[in-house]
Amino acid sequence: MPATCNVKAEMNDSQRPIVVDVRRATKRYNGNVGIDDVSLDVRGGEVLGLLGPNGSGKTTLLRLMLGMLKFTSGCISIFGDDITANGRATRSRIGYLPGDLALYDQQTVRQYLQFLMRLRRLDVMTSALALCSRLKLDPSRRIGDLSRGTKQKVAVVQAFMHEPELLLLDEPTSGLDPIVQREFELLVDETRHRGATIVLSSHVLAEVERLADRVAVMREGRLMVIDDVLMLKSRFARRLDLEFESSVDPAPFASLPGVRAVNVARRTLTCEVVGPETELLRMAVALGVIGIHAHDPSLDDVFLTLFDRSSHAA
Amino acid sequence: MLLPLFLKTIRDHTRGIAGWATGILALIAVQLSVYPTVRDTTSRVTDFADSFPEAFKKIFRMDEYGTPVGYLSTELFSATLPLIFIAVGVTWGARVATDEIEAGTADILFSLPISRRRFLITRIAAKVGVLALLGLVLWFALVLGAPVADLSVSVLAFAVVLMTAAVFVFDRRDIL
Repeated sequence: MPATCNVKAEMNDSQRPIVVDVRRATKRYNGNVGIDDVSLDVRGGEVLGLLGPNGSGKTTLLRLMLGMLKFTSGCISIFGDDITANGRATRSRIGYLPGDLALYDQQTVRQYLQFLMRLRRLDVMTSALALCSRLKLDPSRRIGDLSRGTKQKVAVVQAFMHEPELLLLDEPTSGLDPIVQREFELLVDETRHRGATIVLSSHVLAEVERLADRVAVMREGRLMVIDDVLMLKSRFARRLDLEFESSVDPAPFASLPGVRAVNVARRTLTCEVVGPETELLRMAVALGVIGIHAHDPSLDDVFLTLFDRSSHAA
Repeated sequence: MLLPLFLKTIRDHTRGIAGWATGILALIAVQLSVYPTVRDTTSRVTDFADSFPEAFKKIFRMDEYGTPVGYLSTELFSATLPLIFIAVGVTWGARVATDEIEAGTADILFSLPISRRRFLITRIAAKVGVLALLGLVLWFALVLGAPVADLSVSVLAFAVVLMTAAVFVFDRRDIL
């Protein structure tokens, strides 16, 4: 069925409108796949993390959302409007931070921000200077004299300064030191709380885990999985250490559904569990468990497991 | 047109404008300083001009070589200045938009609420503006330098000649 882009902002269960609606979007470059048949939506006030190795199509997807590239097929609507039909008006509500950052080296930070403001026909210098101060960025410095990380701060300021309703951030913390990364995370959190929607791509899985409500994992232009961070993690094995009063037989545990890698060392049984743990805990209590330590999978584990599986499948 | 982008593009060419303007001023200074000698040796200059083929004489207005207008036409406006302006136009005009795209600075520009058509129009207008600025430098140099060299050509005539040269330059399609 052909995708259509004339759907105005819908409400989900929590009455949040769909801000970004990607339908069967495909982009090919001279026969090479940029993205292939990607469909996803992002709701108002949500942070969606895009994960994937280099060349997986994250940047292409963000550029398509901005209307900077033309689709091979499919469509994307932003705020309910087809981005290819109403790109100019839509872009006034978007802040974008590109992955391959290039600024005007001969300008000062203030001149550059002013230049962008004038092109946007906005005067948000107070907000821009407040952001500069927050990120410890001197607006009087020439951009050409700045380090890679400091230039990245300029890019962050220009993306956030006009308080856009949608932020598309392509590896936003690349080159930032840990202190500024922390400040950036607070900024994202505040921006989300004022109702803005954020799509960010990153290689820093821990950062995505902290910031994103949902994660979309891409590989070779295709969307492998998109899910709530907690839900995604729950689909992967959780490691449990069960401490007993005396030594315990691992066989009954190994036969439980969803339980694997059962090992016993002295009075401690370790195992991995996927899915509900009710039966396991019931058995452990019956056998006299005195302590339980759970180790949730990190997003790194999820990401690496996904790619491991997909490599084996290939 | 996007005025901030227009002004920025002009500013980006400041060094180039300064360089080319210095060259043009030097060329005019040399040509004007030679004119009194040409004027005082009219008969020999005429004999010299007559030695050229008829078509060549017409193209470079060599029949009037001894007059102020003929001298400037032959030495400056027939070939040298148009070629300089074509060189400047082609150098700057050929990269009317690609320089921003290749440098990557267009990424943020294209994320703004501006159309690519307006971006392109503004960039072309700015490049034309840069050429016009150079033309203005040339006009001032001639208007101020001619009396010093005892060369009597009206301000209006200079303007007409410059406009003609500009039409000649812009008629070259490769500039746009």
